[in-house]
Amino acid sequence: MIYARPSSIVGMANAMSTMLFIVILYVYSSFAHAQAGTVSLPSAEGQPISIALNALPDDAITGNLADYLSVFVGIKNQCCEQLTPIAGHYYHDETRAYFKPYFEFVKGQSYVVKTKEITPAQKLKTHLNEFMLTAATPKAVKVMKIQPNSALIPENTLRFYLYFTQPMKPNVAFNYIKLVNAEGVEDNAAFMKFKQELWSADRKRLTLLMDPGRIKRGVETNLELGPALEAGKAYKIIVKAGWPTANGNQTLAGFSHSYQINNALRTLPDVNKWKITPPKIGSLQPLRIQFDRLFDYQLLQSEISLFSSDGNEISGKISNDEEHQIWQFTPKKQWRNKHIVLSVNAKLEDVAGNNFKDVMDHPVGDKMHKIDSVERHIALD
Amino acid sequence: MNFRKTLPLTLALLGAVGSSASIGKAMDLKFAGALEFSDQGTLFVGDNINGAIYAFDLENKTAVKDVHPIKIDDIDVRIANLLGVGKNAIEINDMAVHPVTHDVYISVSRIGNQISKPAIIKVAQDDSIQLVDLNQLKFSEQKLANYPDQTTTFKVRGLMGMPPTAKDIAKGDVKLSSLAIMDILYHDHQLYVSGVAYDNFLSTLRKMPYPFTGSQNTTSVEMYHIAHDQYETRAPIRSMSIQKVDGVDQMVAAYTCSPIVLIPLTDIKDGAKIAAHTIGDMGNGQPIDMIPYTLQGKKMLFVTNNSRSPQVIPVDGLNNARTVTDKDFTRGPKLDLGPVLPYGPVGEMVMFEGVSMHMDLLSDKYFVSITRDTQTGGLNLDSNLTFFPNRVHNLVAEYDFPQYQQEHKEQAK
Repeated sequence: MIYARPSSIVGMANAMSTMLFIVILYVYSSFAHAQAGTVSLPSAEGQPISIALNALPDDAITGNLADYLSVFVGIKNQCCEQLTPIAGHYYHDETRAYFKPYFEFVKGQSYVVKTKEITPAQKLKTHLNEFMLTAATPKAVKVMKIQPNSALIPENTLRFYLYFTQPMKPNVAFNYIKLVNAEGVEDNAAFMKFKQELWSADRKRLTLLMDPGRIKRGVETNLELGPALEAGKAYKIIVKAGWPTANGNQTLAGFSHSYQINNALRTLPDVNKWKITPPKIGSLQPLRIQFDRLFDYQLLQSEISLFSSDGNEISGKISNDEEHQIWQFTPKKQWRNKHIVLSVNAKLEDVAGNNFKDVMDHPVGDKMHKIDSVERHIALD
Repeated sequence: MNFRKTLPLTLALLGAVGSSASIGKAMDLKFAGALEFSDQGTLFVGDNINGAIYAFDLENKTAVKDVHPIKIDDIDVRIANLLGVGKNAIEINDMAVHPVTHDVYISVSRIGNQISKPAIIKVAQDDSIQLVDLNQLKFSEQKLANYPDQTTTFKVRGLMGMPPTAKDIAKGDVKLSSLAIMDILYHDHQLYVSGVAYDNFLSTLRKMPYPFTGSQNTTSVEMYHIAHDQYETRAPIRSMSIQKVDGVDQMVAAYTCSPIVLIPLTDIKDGAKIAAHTIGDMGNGQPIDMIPYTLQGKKMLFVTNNSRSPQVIPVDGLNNARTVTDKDFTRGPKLDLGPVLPYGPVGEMVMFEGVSMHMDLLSDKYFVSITRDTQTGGLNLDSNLTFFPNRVHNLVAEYDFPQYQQEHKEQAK
């Protein structure tokens, strides 16, 4: 690669630029020599170190290759008196001799390759080359998505979910997460600030809970501050850049999502208001539900099930198009039964925290519906 | 996890098929822990991850005439560098001396790129340090029955009701299975393995023939613990030795904090729950190695401890020892500062400058030890004479003064 360059010089007409290029070439090749010379250094943990056989005396491969090529832990200017060389295997082919360490090289550890190479005057000269393998370029840290992700959400939306590409540092969330209105004014009392933040086990999903006191009518904070989100207005949830990851090695890129606020949802959900598109028997078509409202994104992954008429749960895959309020279920095997039952856990909540048992913001004294699930019978096409 | 309900089935299967010779099979050692040699030079390695004993053929008939007392400073740095890492990326797990060549073998965990890998290091009689290429050796393997699961960890506790420190809490990440193989002993074509097994009765002594046949005895061991004033069934034997006591072969075993018990070898039967005979207690602390040796013609046990100076126990003194129970003491824990400890025929504590982390007999003249030096803090491999005192290089006493030596010389005239 280095030797390929001089031929390109020939074609250069301008003597000045040729001279300049030679200077650059000289700098480049001396740099490259300092890096490797006749030695090839590894760029990944499992790669061997090699040296051109023509840099070694003729008897090197018949004798002990370790006398001419050895590798040490440490840095160049502290090498290699009194140090123990790394254990490994030596071998050679027609042009090069190789050293492969018994244990792979460790990322972030400095190593020195010591070689004894033959000079034009047939003398041996010691060369030291230092190298270090670095960790692969880390993934960018960003908010992958926010739920709800639709542009229009009800005034009494209770929960938001933030999904991160990497585990994040806990207990600093509200230094970075803000709710701002159309004028950019922050409402710092909008979210519930628990001592224990609501992280998923892998610390890649954070649940943000709006302060229920702002949502529930007649409660003190609602009376004092009013609702955090007001119908007809626009808001943004902003996550500021700079939030460190859990391992402290990277920081988050900034993120924001805009919402228009719709009227509050203060009625019980009702499966009879869902528009269900049944699939064809014998097909693998998805069963499709168009909801009348936004449901909690996380609960939609688990709280709706389908059963065949003989009572067995049908297995399949759920997909959510939250923006269009569509839930789809694609069966693993073809639909077999004409009649199936859609079973919804009564705990399934809409985005405002209303479930099939009661509404989030109900008058004192209202009785809960004592139900565990809600069923709807579906006839397939 | 409901492992107690499901595991015995799996283990019954293992017992039936998980037998012996593995020649031709790929060597899959995952952890190099406890080490022991057979008299001919087979190296046994306890693997606490695979739950197996590996036997590597290192037989060598070239006996050494004059055993060289090996001394290598900063052995941890030397080993780490040999393995391509810095000294904080290794853990030294055990050490044993080849009975014929008198080379020293050390088991190590090497941590790199977030993976721990096992390594066996040989420090030869010529003071060279080499990595043993286990893949080139003939080996066989014996899976251990009733092996504990790999998930249960220790429960965090603070010291005497105080809140746990960061290091106490870190103990909560340690798996019980890391104590599954504590010590391995080769005696008369049998391997004895102390450690913990899976069930409620954790402390276990296993016995299996070598060469491995697939059969093994698993015995649960209960003992009365003088210092803790309770019967213990969980904490395993830390180190052990087989000696003739009262005319029969008995296991002499040391536990943490630090009782000495006797177990007649004939008691070790498959499925048995046995009570060891508690005969003494060396005092609080955790034993590391128990090395049988001969001092002035008498059989002795040299017992090292991570918290105390070594204890030298004359084997003769164990004869006619009285077995004690909770009835023999006023109730309550016994501490070093109390009048009870040390108790029984446990010999004497002797001076040993520094802390020996692993020790074995190098020859009839020398102990070899991986020692934390009190002067430099360095970790050194050193050989020390078996008589007392055997290490004085970090002490300055009357004898070191030139005036004393001069006076002594003149008196000698």
